[in-house]
Amino acid sequence: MRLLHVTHQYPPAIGGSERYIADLSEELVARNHQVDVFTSRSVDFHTWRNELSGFERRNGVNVYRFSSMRRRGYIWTMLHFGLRNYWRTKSRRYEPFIFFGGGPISPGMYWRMRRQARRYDLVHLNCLVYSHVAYGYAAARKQNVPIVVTPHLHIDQPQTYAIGFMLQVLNRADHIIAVTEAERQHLISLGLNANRITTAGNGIRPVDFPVLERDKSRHILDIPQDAQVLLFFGRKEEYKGIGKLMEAYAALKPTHPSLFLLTMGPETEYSRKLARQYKNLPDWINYGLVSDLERAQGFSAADALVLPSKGEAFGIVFLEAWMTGTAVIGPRNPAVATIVGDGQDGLLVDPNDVQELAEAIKRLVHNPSLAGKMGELGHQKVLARYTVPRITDIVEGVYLRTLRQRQREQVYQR
Amino acid sequence: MSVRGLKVSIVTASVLGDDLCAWARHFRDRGDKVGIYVPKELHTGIDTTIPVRAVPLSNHSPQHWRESDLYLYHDSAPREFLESIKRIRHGLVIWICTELDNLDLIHYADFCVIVDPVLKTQLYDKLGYPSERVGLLPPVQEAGGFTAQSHKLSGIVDRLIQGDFPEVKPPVERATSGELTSRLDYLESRSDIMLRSYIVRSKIPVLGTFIIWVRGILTSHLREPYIDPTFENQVAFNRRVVKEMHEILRTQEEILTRLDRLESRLGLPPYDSSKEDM
Repeated sequence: MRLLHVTHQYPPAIGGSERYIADLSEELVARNHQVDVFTSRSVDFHTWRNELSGFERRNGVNVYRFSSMRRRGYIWTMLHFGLRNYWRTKSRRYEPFIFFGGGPISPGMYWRMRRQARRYDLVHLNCLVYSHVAYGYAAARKQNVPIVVTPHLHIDQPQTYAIGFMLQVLNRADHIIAVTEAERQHLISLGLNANRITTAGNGIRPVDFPVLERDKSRHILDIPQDAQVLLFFGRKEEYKGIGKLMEAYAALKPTHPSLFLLTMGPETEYSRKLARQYKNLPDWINYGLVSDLERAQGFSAADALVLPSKGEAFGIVFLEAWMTGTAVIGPRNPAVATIVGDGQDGLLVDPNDVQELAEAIKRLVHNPSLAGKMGELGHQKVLARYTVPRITDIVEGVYLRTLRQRQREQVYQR
Repeated sequence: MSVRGLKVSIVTASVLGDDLCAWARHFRDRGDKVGIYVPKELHTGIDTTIPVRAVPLSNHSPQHWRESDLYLYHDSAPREFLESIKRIRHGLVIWICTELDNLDLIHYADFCVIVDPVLKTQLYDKLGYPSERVGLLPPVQEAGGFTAQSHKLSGIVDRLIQGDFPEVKPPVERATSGELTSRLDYLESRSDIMLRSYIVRSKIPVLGTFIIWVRGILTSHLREPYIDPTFENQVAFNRRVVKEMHEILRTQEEILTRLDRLESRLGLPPYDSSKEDM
């Protein structure tokens, strides 16, 4: 197949949806498909600053990058104006403000797609909430090329995607790929045809997770061997629940002296404030942005990953923890609940309830065999369902089914 | 409506299974052109009208296979043979699932049929394969049981070929009588659709009064004899409908109360209206 993947950003830009499309593209290339990627030159969606080169061949994937309009202060104002008034009035007249404010606005990408989309068997649009999906859809539809969309919806934040033109793309796409079953059910509840929606998910590559010895990892990270280590891994934003975890840890520490807290992930203004607030908290090691090896050491050293996040579209970090056999504690939201089986391979808590979080931590700390069993079940689940080849099987299946459907429409002239 | 005259390809490990033979004959008898593809030459064929071919399903596969409208892939076939699923151009693909092994390629099929109902849950749990794309065939317990299976399969094929996939609608929660009453009250408050407070105004000094007068003259000849009476009739109708619906709701509540009383007298479990559709 000749495939065109259209995405807002592509690695080296960091992010879950960026990684999803890159893993998928590379795996499809390994299966002898031709994959071209159209994307922006940015690595920062806050500014859409044009930083990367126009073309790159990355692990067999042709990545074409297009300049886009910078998102300056007035563009943000335009977006906020559009969103505020759209949700107040539901009037379509505010949608252009959301379209231009969201970005990346790249006329070059649009015109290139208008000219060249016909060269491809299928166009896959990634990440609905950005504007490239709207003009990518328009260009592909104009050329009558089948369209598949992976929206990556945060279903508990409808204000980000339930906008007229975005829903129109979902309604008219040939097929939609949901990352969780909860997302699929939500899309069905919006009135979309269930047969046009397939759940795939995000996948990880087991080779990225070398088997490390816990003792060595703890030694390297300067963690006592007999400690019971809780790990937070992720961007240290408030919505990720790091504040709630610190609160629970501070409450448990006096009665559980063997507890140890390890936090890893890019720092934010919020995390710096937390660091000042908890500067005297004992047995807490904080890392900022870490390398792949340090990440693996962190997971290997931990007894449980704790991420009581309020906004996870998928939660790939749970899969990463399971790869090292680590038990997980996550938020009880529809997306995560379809990945983590509460009480089976992890524990789910109300992300706003510090007391419940502390109880869940205590349950794992008091019962290490339960934690080990959960980690092992999670490990089996990842290998059976959430590796990159498995996810690619599903997506490749969607592509072929979509193409056959199109062919049938022509053959039977329906 | 049934679809006839299809080219049907059955891909399997062997034709020893009675089920496959019965299905092949059924499709042939209804007017389809059937071919069976196996990895090794083991059989001469079911009969002269259904050829069994042992050919590699590669780029040089037989014309019948390439042009088929329907493919039945039996999971007993070896992986390299099943890989041909990726080369199908337009046909509809149905996966015949008998076990939980050898399922790597199931996502490439449009639909899956099973005989063991337990597989439906396992397909979802293990592979995330949605239950809407799984069809259950009746088990074979007696002679002639394959006929029932064949008819069911035939029905599934007809529905899929016509693009009539089973639609899944979001579950509708039944409203309580209190909610229904408040909804009816809301409808009642909205039943008057006239803009009674609308008055033609003008802010233009001096000329404004004249403009109002002219607009009144220009619209009154339509409004007074036609538009206003029509809308008043509509308002009266809306009010009448809401009143009748209130009456129906009251009657329904009385019936349900009476039913509860009768059930408790008879010692039956309480009435669950959500089970009506099942």
